[in-house]
Amino acid sequence: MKKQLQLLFMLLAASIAPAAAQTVNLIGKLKSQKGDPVEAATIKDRTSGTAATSDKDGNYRISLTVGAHVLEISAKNMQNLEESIQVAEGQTSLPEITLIPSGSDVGEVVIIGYGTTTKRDLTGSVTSLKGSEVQDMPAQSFEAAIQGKAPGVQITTGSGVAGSGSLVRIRGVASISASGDPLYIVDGIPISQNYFVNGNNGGFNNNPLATLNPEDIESIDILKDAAATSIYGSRGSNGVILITTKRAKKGGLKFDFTSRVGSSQPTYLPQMLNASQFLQMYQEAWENDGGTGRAPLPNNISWEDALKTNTNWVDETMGTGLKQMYSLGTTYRKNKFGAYLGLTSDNNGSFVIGSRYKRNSARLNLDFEPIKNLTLTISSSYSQGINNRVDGAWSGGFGAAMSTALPIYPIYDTSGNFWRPGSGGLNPVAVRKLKDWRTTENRTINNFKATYKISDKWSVSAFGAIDNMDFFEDIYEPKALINSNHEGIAKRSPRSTFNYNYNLVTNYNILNTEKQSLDAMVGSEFQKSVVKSSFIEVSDMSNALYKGDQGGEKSTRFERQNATEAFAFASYFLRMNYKLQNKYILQFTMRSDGSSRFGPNNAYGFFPAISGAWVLSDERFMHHFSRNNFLKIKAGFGRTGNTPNENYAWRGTFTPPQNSFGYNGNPSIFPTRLENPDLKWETSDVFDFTVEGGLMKNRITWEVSYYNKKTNGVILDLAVPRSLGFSSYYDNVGAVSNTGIEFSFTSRNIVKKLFSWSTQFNIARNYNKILNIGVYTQDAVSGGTNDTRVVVGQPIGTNYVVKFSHVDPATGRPVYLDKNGNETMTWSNNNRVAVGSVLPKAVGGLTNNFTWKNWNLSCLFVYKLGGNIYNSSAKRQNGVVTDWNMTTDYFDHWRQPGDISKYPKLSMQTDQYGLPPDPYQYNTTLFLEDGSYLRLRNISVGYRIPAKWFGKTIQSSRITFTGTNLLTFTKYTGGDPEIARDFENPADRNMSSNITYLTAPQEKSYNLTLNLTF
Amino acid sequence: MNTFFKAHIIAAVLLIGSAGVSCKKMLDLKPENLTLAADALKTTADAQALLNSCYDEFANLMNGSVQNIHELLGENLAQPQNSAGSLYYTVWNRGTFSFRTADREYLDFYNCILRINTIFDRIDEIGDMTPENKQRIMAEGHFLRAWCHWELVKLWAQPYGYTADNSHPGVPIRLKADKTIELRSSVGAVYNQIIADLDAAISNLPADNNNYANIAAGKALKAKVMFTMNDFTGAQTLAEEVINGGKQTVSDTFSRFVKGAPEEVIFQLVSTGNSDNRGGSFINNYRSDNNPNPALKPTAAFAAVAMQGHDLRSAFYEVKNKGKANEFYICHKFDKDVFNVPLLHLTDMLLLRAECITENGGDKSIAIADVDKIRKRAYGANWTAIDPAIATGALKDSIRLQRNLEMSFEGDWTTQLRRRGAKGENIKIRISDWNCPGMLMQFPQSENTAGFIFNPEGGCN
Repeated sequence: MKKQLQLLFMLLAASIAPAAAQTVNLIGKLKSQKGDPVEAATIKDRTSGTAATSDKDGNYRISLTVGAHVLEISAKNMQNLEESIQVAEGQTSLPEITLIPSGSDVGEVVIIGYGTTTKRDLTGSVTSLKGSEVQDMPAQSFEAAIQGKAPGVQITTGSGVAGSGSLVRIRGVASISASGDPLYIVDGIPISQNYFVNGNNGGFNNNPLATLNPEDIESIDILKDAAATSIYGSRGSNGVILITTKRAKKGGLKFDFTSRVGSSQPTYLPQMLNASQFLQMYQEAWENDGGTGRAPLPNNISWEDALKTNTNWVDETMGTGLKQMYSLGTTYRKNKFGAYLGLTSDNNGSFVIGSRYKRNSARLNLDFEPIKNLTLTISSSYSQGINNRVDGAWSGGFGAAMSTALPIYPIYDTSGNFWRPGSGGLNPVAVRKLKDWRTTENRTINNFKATYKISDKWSVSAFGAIDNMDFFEDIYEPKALINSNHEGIAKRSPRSTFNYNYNLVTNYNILNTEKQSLDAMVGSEFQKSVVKSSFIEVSDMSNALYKGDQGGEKSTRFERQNATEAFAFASYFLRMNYKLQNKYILQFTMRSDGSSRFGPNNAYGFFPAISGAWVLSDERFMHHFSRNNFLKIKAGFGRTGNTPNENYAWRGTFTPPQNSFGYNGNPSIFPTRLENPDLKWETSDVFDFTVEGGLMKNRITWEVSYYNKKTNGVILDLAVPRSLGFSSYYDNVGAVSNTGIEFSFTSRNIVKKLFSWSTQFNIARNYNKILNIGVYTQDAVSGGTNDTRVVVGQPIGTNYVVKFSHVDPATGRPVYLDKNGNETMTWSNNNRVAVGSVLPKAVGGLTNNFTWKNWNLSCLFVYKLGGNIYNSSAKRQNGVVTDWNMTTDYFDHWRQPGDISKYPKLSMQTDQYGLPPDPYQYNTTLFLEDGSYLRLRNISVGYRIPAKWFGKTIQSSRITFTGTNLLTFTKYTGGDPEIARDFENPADRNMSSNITYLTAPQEKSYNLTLNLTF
Repeated sequence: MNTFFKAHIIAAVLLIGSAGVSCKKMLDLKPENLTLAADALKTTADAQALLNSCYDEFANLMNGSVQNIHELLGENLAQPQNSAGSLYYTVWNRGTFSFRTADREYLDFYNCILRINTIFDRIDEIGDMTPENKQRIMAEGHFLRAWCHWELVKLWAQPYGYTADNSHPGVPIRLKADKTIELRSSVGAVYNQIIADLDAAISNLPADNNNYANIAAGKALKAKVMFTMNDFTGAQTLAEEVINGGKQTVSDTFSRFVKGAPEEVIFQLVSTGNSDNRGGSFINNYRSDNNPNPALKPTAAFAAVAMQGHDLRSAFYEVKNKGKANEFYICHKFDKDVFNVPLLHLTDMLLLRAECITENGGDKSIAIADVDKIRKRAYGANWTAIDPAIATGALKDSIRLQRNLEMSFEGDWTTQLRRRGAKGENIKIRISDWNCPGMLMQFPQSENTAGFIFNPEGGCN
């Protein structure tokens, strides 16, 4: 019957056709301002009502009569458009139409824990970034590209050493000895994120995020408050970063190829003394101390030799690095099957000579719907990161160039061999060339998810994931480098981390009417991580173990299996969302976490949160605010937690015979930790209040947030009296508060077809304060360079040093202030006070995007207002004259009575500075400086090559020039004001955020990128 | 399949999943390759292994680390280079303070004591422990605990005799493996505990004990302790018992730092190979055959005494850049890849007895014979016997000279100077009084608890 009616309709239509105006079939195309095709847009002729839908390439076909028409075009995330056109007889195509992004992003999907929501329905504080925002900015590691784009997320990018990581802090830091880093979750997997798999060997922390390929990232969602993070309970205290990788979208087979070449240079070159300057100042110090004749030079260098030498060790250790990246992304979707395959090769050379990070990665994401209502997804990635290492910071290399490698030392001796007076650090070139050092990280992250939709209201999903990381460090030192009779020693430190989790989650729509809805999610999850490590040392070797050399007959081999480490979490969680009249939204979340890191008495913690949102602009009484098209208030209160980094911190343990060296050839065992069965969760109670809105039809959107977080039972790795026979143990002591405010706005200043200009700005202020530390003193926890402490009433890691007053014009000696503010010539440990501000007054970013025809210009400025930097190495460079080189800043020192100078007189005697006989203790405010800066973090100029240049083969192509860190405005004299030192442990990472110690500067890079889609 | 039925299936799956994460055993993770404290001491072999670790810890301290600190405080080492955060530079300048002190050594001595106390606290829990084994293990524990406390009190307190009743502050005495914080005991109390431990050791140590402490080692150590207390009678008696025990003879060579068992060694730290080298801190800081600029170098004054042409031991020393502004001396005594570290030996006992005799007014001929055994070996063909009519003072000087030369850079000489200062001699170490505050190590900042008395600082320059 139905077919018959259709036939009748067709016949009727045919019979009346000659009487109507002539109709022509037209082909049109829709694109975005960026030139991307706009898919699934509706194109409707206002007069006839004829409609069409655009395909994956933005093409559509529509039949229109000859004459004038108005096309009404609508597409997701695009502004509606009314386009007037004129159709002529014989015409076959329509002009290409460009759509402009919609101002409001309230309909955007936001990834939250174990699910998604829309920005409109969101009750928590979440910042969402698109993958393109990460990929457009070349960075050592993806997290560095977030800098300046998310309010309240302070990112200090790592140094310019290849493979280095960033220091990421979301709304401050609430922990002292426990990790202050956010939890990273990739496609639902809490990944292994240990920055200390290799300690700070060589003055460098391994970056666990370096093997994640930025090109694979579809989106990044940063969960900031308890309403958002409490679903991750015990690990949400420092925020959560959710990374979602790319999957196949609609539309057949598509390739996306990106190629990038670039360079790496330091943003700043340390200004060290040359040989004649050094000799002059060294001699001046000698004579100031009453010495006569020529000063004996360090390492018994004769003046004759010193005068003939002038080695610029900075130039010998820093240069220009080259970068290359090639990436091919393939997506395929047909019917119920979709696949994404990403292949990337990234070769990242650093300006630090010899430092290079190579990453090869592959990702395969599959989606399949084998039967109705059942969806299967597989996400699988493999990456290999090879880091060619050199010593740095305190360990040598460029650090030696700034310290112990004096310009009077030669690289080669008169025989043409490397000059090596014992300590290798004195000749960083020799160490670099002789030492073969690399780390290899093979990592695979895989998950499988099956979701079954039982009914329209009810679904259930099962998820399982594995994150496996095999890490090897290989070091080979030949005979020429080691003070031994052995030919060479090869060392290998393998470390494997096997991390898996699985969960079962069910979602149920309990209530769904026109006025209200109630959804519930319930789930359970288990995660376990096992770390195995060992150490191998083979003597009399000619090569590193990774090169296959296993040693000859003379070789002796030592192997040690280290203690296996493991932790597990068992969790239940619940989330309920209630929505009334689409404008009142209430959310309750709860998570109960059990952790192996606590004893039976404290194994489980409970982490609830309640939050709500009110879409104020939907209220009748707001309608008169005609320019406000969106206004929303949201607030939340909840609890999150944290655990110690040590897996067995509460247990008393012994090292067994197989892991101890023994003595006299006999086995030994010994206690390694005393038991603390009372150790429990560190908990943070968080309140958040946010207002967000849109003005002028969402041309301007903005958001203001206030938060207050109080952390109790702070986990401290306490320094206990060493006469107990051990140096520290974990306990819950004290409290910390974090308070802050954030503001951000996006403004589409000019929105025209050919030209557009948009601005994004954000600013955030966090204040962190230690409320108490129980019965302990400020010295209970200290930073790695002994200049920060835990002081009640001050932020975590506040600088605790002696105040420097001035240089005495009469004697040239430093004048300090005692605790009461009285001047004294004697530095005393007892006069240390909390000084400066470890926290900046504000941090943020400013982005401007300009589009003109096929051109695009984008520039991102990041800034830090206030906040001090403590230049811990300057106390050695520009303090008591020792065997360290000095900086040219030290020219401003006292020379004769009456001189007013920044620095005291030159002296080799610590007592001339009123110091104990250890120049390392010269911790004073003389080296505390304002660390404010404004930095042009990224500027890119892109050109979209017209498609006609390539014919039909290439759908779109783009070429982009990018510069990073090209300009920095700062008053800081010590070099680059953006510093992330190598840290000794997680506590040091929390305690030493403003400390620099022979830290390499940031990288300045120029990059040229070609992107082709076909 | 209707929805109701599906719901039951899913509910069952969720329940199974929940059960999967509710099992407490899944969270009861025990460290692999580590033993839980409760399971660690079950057998005699466990106790023996824990005792062995005490030797290991002790050996890692006495591998030169502690001896070097004594020498840096003394008069025989030149000022080390002023390197970054150098403990040696600070110690040489007698300026340690709570953030720059020998905190590693302080901790490790107490860690060694913690291990010993763990044995003592739990030895009765061990089912297969025989009385004989318990007696020996406890005796060795007492021997090592006494030595650890002695090394601590030598470095962190004024010497015995600094006050008449030895009430001046010593170091914390730890006799239990627990978290109770102990404050400093008086030096007198510390020495009483050391003597008590050594008496317990001597009463129960075996005569032979492989490379571990035996009764001769217990007596030799007690002789040295009593000598430090200026108890010459007690020290002489014990030294004589060791000497007369006849188990050791004076070696032909004066080099005791070898890989083996020289016949004069009573107790030594044993190196089993290159990767188990118990002389590391001597080698790393003095060795010059592969390092033209070692960290520790003899003073010119010491070299002038030690580099007498007729003394075969002068081969241990060499001058570099002679006559130039950067002239310095090096010590070849530790120029080896690996060696054992002799801590108690017959040479020490002979010189100790000889000096005790000069202090006690005993049979001078015995003292002369003792010191001449050492001199004869040192001077070889150039040796001439000491005149039997030599004055006691001159004989004492000769004995002390031999002690300084024979045990150079072994961490002994500074202790002798401070002991003699406490005895009443007018002793200057470099330019400072023997008891100036900086001669003491400062305690680590971690000790800053209520009632803990830190050492005064400075005053030595």
